[in-house]
Amino acid sequence: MGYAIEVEDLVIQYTRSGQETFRAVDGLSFRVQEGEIVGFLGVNGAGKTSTIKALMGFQPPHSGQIRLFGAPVDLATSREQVGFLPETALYSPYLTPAETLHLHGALHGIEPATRERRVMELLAQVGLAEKARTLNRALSKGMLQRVGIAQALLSRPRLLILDEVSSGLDPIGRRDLRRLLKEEQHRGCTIFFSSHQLSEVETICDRILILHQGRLIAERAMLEIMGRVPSLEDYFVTLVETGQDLLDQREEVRL
Amino acid sequence: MNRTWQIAHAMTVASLLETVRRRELYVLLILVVVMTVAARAFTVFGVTGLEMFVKDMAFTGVGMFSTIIGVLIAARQLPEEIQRRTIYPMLARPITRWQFLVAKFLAAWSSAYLCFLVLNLAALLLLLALRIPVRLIFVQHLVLKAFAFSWLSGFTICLTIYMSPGAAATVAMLLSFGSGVFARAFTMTYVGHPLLNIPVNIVYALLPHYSLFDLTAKVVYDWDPIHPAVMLFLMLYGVGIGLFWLYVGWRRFQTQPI
Repeated sequence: MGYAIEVEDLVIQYTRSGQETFRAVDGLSFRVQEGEIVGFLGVNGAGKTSTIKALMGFQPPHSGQIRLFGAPVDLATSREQVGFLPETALYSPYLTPAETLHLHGALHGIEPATRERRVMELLAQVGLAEKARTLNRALSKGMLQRVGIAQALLSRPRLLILDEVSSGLDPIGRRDLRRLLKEEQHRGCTIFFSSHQLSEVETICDRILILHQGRLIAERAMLEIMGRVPSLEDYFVTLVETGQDLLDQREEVRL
Repeated sequence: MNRTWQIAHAMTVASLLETVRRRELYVLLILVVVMTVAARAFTVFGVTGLEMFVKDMAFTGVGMFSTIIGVLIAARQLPEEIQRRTIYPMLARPITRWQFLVAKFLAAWSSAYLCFLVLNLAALLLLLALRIPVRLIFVQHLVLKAFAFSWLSGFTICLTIYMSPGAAATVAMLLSFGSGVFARAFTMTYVGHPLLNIPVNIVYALLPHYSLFDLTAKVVYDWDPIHPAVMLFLMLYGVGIGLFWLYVGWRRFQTQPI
């Protein structure tokens, strides 16, 4: 199997107040294999959203390489097999969920007949079939997030990139989301997502990447973590706050 | 090209639905009807020969309101998508930024022109009901304004890429309503300075000439239709200058971090 995402020595920097530059991402390198579910973790301001924006071609990197299925991200065609969910998007208040999905389907180049079928199928899948003809402005934040999840899945992508995917979802919505993501993985989809819900990451991820101050500080398979530390939260908090990797310490003790 | 049209079609349908559901158009429609009927109401006081005055009120109102709504529609195309963060899932599709910008331009243009047509249709029906005739030049007025909206939409969208939506809308409105005045004032500056002739003419050509597309006065005063060659020139100019401003906007938008 090949790589769905390849990031090499990525640097993203912003210019603050004229001349002063700030590195949001500093020499980040990682790869995501096809079929994996990878959690992208970090505290606020760690550089997760900047990285995701660069992955989607929204933020030109200062230096480094990014490829999706081997194609450079600056090519529009590299996004043909990608579904993307941004952090809290408010879909047009004057359109209905069905119209929103039709718009996105048309932008993706999905044929009208396939689109019609797919839109109804997805709205049912995310629990919005009854709200298909209600204007988006009458929907709650959680419902809008479901519209977002449906638009990300619309083109049956081979890669899903999700930024704060469970934001605004209630416990039932989060449970449905986990089931949906697992189904997508069984279909062969690669999933790369950022989240602050560590219990959720623990349940569904194969691997995690932890970003801190723009640098990758840990890259672990979930199997390495489970049962060896009390919880992912303990592992994450200790690593970010003290810089100590609990798994490395246990390996030292065993030796 | 087919793909660009497909994207433009999808965006245009969404924009038209938004325009209709926002209900701004209905408010303007009511204002046009009120202005026209109020103008006609002077007959109650025994004033006669008001046909020109009523027509003037109706078409001036339509021209003014459709320009305002045209600027507002174009000014919100990009900023609202960015503010709502819906630009991300849109640009995450396999489309280029040029295709996105062209689609937004066509969406703004068609929505603004739809508003113009609806307002004109209302004014025409009202005038006919009041037994005030309108001559053939009215059709030319409708056609030519389509090309004026090409300039207006391209120019306003371009401005929103370089400045805030509020500033873009203000500049676009100032230049649309004052284009005739600004252009004339500018040509006066080089009288007596022949060396400045070429650069001044270049800048003059780039300046907006929205007023050239406005046949309102000719419709009101029942002029004969204008020459087809003049129409053709203005149509080409409208498309050309609209695309020029769109290109200026794209130069920045293509590499702009979102």
